[in-house]
Amino acid sequence: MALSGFDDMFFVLLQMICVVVVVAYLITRTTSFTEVLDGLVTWKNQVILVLLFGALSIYGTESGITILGATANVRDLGPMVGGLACGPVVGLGAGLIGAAYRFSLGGFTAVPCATATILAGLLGGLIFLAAGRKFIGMHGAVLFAVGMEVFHMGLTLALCRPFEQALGVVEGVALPMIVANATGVFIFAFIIGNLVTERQTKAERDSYLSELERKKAELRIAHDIQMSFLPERLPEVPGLNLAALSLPAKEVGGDFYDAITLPGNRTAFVIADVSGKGVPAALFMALSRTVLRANAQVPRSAREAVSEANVLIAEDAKSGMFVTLFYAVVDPEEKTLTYVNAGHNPPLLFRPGGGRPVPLKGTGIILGVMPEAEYREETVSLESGDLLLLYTDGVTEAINPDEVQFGEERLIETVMGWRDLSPAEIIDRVRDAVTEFSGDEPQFDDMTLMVIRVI
Amino acid sequence: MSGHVEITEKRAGAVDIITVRGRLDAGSSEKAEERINRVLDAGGTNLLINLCDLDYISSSGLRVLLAALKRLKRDGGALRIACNNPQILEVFTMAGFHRIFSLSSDEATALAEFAAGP
Repeated sequence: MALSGFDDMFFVLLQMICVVVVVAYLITRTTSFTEVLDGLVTWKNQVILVLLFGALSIYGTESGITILGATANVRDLGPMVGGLACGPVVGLGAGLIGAAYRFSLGGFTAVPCATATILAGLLGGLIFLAAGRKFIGMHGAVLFAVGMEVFHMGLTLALCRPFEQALGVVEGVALPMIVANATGVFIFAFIIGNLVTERQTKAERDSYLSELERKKAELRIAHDIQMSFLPERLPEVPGLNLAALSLPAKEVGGDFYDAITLPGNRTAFVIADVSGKGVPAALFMALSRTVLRANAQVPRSAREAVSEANVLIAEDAKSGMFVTLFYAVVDPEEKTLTYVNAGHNPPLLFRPGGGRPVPLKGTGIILGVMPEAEYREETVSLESGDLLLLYTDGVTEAINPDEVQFGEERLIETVMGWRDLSPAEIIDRVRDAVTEFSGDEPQFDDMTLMVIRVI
Repeated sequence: MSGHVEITEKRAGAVDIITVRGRLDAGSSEKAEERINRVLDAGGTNLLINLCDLDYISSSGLRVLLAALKRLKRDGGALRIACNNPQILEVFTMAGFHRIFSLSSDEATALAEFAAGP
């Protein structure tokens, strides 16, 4: 292509750049290129890339602009980028193809031009190795292109004779060639940079999504474990009215309640809160509940049942797991309630007549921390009209948007306000009161309630 | 919820002192656990946790203290808690913590007890 005007040359360069943009886009989107980018340098990938970058080199020769009888071209571009981005094999291979094509055309500068193209690929590949088998980035790549073209010009001056003719050629093509090749490398580097960022973002998003999936599955499993270890319905106990409710939080804690029928018409009631959240808490809850149930069945006192359960649970407790637990045995014939409170929020015993409730306070340490811990048991006599409220701290620690806790006082007021309703209705009222109080604030911890009324 | 906790660290001789102010609840316990573990990871074996300015502790807060105690016991270290807030002490008593933790009413007393040995 012979040109005279500067505008025409600019137009052709622009056209060339457009082609380079498209080719760069297409090459970088091939599987071979992205695999090599990921470090998967197979022979098949290398052969394909050699052919692609070699073809780009041939295009570089063909699209050259003849200025004052010499040709400015981007023949070195393909080998340079092939070497810089894919290593010495691809660089050298593409360089040899481009060089062979150029050499076959013959002419005054055939030898230095062919040599420079081979060296462009080889040096690009060596830079790839020196950078730790990766693309050195935009700045380094453009700098290399400029340096490579300056070297190309030097080679022409050194090898072509007569020198005056060589100087004439170099004077004419040096600047356009440096600019054109540097621009081409810039385009490639830009697109490769985008590609790398894009793939990183995608990888991060994928791993974030799979993490999210895993977390969701874990929450569902924890929830299922917890639900499967809660009684489907409470037993009928003569002389008592019962109701219970457990509302697991999103990140399930380890609340549970139980009502175990014992010999002699007696019934054991349990409410407990396992420390921690998620699957570990749910499993620990399952273990604690099972151990306690097994121990309750053996004829023994409440104190012995809890002490024995504590030994077994403490042996299994890892990294600070523990259970706060309230265990009470109701004997309808004796009209007594015998309880052990292992660090649980004191259940509230509302006596008929409307006074303030009696808290059934701790009689021993939380379960699971000290196998040798000792527990006391306390007995209170029951009378008709007594109302016992058992709850976990998820109820009293529910917060409103101002981060004020629902608290024991509001709980007492609510129960006292509705104490003549059935246990199930009282629980509904408490739940409504907590929900109304919390407003939009998410439920942070499991909420469990049990109400027992003596008929 | 976690915005209401403030955790600071300092050293007094061979004792690492972690002071927790505000609320140690489900929202802030994780943060406290990380800080404590960082001190223990760095080789701290004498840990004093100052809870004199703690307003509130939930069961997840108790769990963090218990985990620290278990770890220090296993590694042959010592943990003392300084606390004079009656509400916090009531929770400790309820959980039975007064029987497994060495409690002092203030930081100076706790430090003196470290010096006196176990």
